[in-house]
Amino acid sequence: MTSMLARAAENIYWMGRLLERASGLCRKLDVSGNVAVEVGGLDPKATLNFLGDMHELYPGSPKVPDTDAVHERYEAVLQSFLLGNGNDLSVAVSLRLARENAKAVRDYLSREVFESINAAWLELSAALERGESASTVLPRVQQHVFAVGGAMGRSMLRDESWAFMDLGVMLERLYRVLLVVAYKLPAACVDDGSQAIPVRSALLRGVLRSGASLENYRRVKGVNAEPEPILAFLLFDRQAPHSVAHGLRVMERALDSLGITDDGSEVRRRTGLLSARMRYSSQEGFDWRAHAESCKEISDEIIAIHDALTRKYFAV
Amino acid sequence: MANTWQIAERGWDEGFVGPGQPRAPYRNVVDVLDAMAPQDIAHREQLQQVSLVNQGITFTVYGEDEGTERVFPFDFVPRIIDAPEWATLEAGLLQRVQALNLFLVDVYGDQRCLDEGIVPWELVQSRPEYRRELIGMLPRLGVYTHVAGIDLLRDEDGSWLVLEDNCRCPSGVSYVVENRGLLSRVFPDLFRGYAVRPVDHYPQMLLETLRHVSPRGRERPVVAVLSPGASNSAWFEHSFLAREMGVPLVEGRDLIVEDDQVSMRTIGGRQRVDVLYRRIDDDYLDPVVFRSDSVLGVPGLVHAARAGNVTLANAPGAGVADNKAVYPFVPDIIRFFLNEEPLLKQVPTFSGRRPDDAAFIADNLADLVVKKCDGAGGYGMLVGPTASKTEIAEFAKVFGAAPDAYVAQHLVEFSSHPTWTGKGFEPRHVDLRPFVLCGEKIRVLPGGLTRVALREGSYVVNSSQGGGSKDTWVLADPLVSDGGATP
Repeated sequence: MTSMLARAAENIYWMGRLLERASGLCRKLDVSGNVAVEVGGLDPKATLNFLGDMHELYPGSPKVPDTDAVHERYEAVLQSFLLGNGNDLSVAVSLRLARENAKAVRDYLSREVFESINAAWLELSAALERGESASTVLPRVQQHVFAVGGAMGRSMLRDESWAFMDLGVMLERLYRVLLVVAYKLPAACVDDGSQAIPVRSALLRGVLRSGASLENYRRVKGVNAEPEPILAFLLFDRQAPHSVAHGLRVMERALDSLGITDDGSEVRRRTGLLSARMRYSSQEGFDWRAHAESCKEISDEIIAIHDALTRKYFAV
Repeated sequence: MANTWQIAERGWDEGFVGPGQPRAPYRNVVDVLDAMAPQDIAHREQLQQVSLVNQGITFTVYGEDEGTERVFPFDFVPRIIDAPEWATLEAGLLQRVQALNLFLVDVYGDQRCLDEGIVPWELVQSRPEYRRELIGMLPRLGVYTHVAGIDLLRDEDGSWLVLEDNCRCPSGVSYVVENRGLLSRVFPDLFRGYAVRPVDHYPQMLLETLRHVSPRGRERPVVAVLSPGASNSAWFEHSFLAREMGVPLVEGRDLIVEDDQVSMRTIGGRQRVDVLYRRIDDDYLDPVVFRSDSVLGVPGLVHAARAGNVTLANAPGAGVADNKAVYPFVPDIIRFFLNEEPLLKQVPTFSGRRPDDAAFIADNLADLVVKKCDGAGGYGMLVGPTASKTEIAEFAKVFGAAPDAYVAQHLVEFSSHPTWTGKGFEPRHVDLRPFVLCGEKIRVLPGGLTRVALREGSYVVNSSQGGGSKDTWVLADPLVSDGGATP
C-alpha cells in the first residue's frame, strides 16, 4: 500500500480547515442576525459590540466600517463575511478554496464529498452571479455546508485522509472557539449591573451558539447560562464536539493513527502537552478573570501546532 | 413518429436509411424516444446537465476564457455499432497500433524503415516529436504506445477511415465511462432490448497494462498517474483515472529522482514509483532532457527510464508516430512491418513537403482541409469549404511562408448522427475515437468516444470549439472474443 502524498495530505488538511471555516462563519453570521433582531432594539450598544468583533475572530479580515445603526452594521458584516468583496476569510473565498483543494485530491475523496462541496460552491457562486441579497443566500449555503459535513462523516474512508481532514477541521475549530471565548464572551456580559437580564441572556446564548454549543450546554449545565460555566464548557468539556479539550483529543487520535506516537515528534508533543493541560491541570489552575489572555496563549500554541504539522508532513 | 427526425441531406446518416426508416440497430432507440413527449425529453436533458455540473465532469478552457471550467456537452442519442462491424474495426485498430509500435521501435533502434525508404529519413528527423536523445532507449517490452486513440470517421459510402492517430496522451476516455453511467441513469429505457458491451472496466484494463510493463515485473509495482496539475484542461480525466485505478495522482513536484530511482514524496517519506502513466507532454516531462524551463516535469526522469528503473507510459518520443506528416506513410508502415494489407483505409493526404502537392494545396485552399503537421485540437487548421474569403487569404499567407509544415485533405463529408437540438432530432457530424491498450496483449475498449459537432453544418468536433460527445454502444455478440492480439 502506498503512503499518502505529502501534497495531498496538505490539500486535505486545508480542505478540512476551509470547510470548517465556512461552517463556523455561516453559524456566526446566522447568530449575528438573530442577535441584531432580538437585542438590537433593546440595547443597540451591546449589539454593536457583539457584531463588531468579527475582525477579532478572523484576524486579517478587513474591518467593517463603523456605523451606529445595528441593521446597517449587520448587513455590512454579512456582505463582507459571506460574499467576500475583498475579504479573503469570507465564506465565498473559503468555499472556493475548499473546492480547489478538493478538486486537487478528488482521487482521495468519495463522490459524495466532492459533489457536496461542489454543490455548496455552485449554490453560492450562482447566487453571486444573480446578485441575490446576502441574507437570502446565507440559509441555503449553510444547509449545503451541513451536507458536506454529513457526506464526509458518512462516506470517507477512515485512513490517512480522514486523519488529515480531522486535523484541519479541529485546528480551525479550536482556534476560532478560543477567539470566541476571548472576545465574544467579555463583549456579551457587562458586570456593572446596567445590562438588562433578557439582553445578557440573549448575548450569552449568542456566544454559545457561535461555538455551536447551545443545546449541548443546556443538556449538560442546564438552562442558566453564565459566563464561568460557559467558559468551562467551551474549554474543558470532554464530550462537547466544539470544546477545546475534545478537539485536542481528536487531534491526538488523528496523529496516533498516522503512527506518530513518539515524544520526539514536535507536533505530537505539543498537541499532547496542550491536551494534558486542558484535561488535568485545567479548571483548578485556570485564571477565570484573565481568561482572555489565557485563551490567546492557547491559541498561540494552536498556531505552533499547525506550524509543526506543516514541517513534519507537508514540507518533506 | 411523435418527434421530428431529420435525416442528413449529404453524407452517411448513422441512424437512418431514409426518412422514417431507422437502421436496424437504431429501431428500438427511435421507438423509445418517440414514445417520450418532448417535455419529458427536455426534463431528462436538464437532469443530465445538472448531473454533469454537480459531478464536476468538466474540462478547462484555455485562451479567451482562461481557467474557465466547462461541462463537456453530452447528447443522449447513443451511437450504435453492431458486432460484425465492430469486429472489423477492432481488427484494423489492433493492426494499426501494432504497426505504429513497431515503427517507433525501429526509428529509435535499427532504423530499417528509414534505410529502406519506407518513410523518408529527413521527414522523421525533422519532426519535433522525434527525440534524438532517445535513440537506443528501448522501453520495457518494446511498448511505446501503451494507450493509443485512433480518430475514425465514416465517409459518404459508410466506410470507416482513419483520420488521425494519437500516440502520446490521448484524452477522452473518462467521458466514455461517465457518459455510459449518465445515460443509464437518466435514460434507462433506451437500453431496453439491447446487449451493450460494458466500458466501465477500462481503468482495470489500463492498470493491468501499466503493471505489465513495470520494471519490477508484476510483483506489486507502484503505478501513478502523472499530471501537469489541477489547472490542466484534462484534470478531470487524470483524477478520474487515478481514482478508478486506485493509484496516486502525482504532479512533477511530488516526485524526485535520486540515483536514477523515481520516488514520491509521501507523509511516510519517499516511496519508489515503478510506472508513471504520464499525461504531461514530452516537452515538459524532464527539464534536464527537454525544455529546461519546464516546472511541470521531473529533473532526471528520462535518465531513470533509460536506466530501466521506471516505465513511462506512453514512452517519450512516441509522438513522431502520430505526426500528421507521417500519417500518409502509415499504410506502407503496416505493409513493411506486418507484411499485411491495411485493414482500415485512411484519408488521402497531400503533403506540403512535396513541391507538386504544395502548389496544389496553395491553388485549392478553398476546397481543402489544411492542417498543421504539429497542430492539435482543431487549432491552426483551415476548413476551406466553410471558410470565408478573408480567412482563406489570411491562411494563404501563413501556408506560403512554411508549406512543409502542413498537410491537406479533401473535405470528407463525414457521417452525421441524430442529435437532440432542443426542438427535435437533427443530423450532426460525428467522429469516433476508440482507445487501444498495449500491454501483455493489445486490446480495444469496445466503442470509444463519439464526438459530435453540435453546431449545425459544423465539421469541428473538438470540445474546445463547440463539440460534445455521445455514448457509443457496441452490441454484444458471443462470437466476438475479448482476448485481444499479442503485440
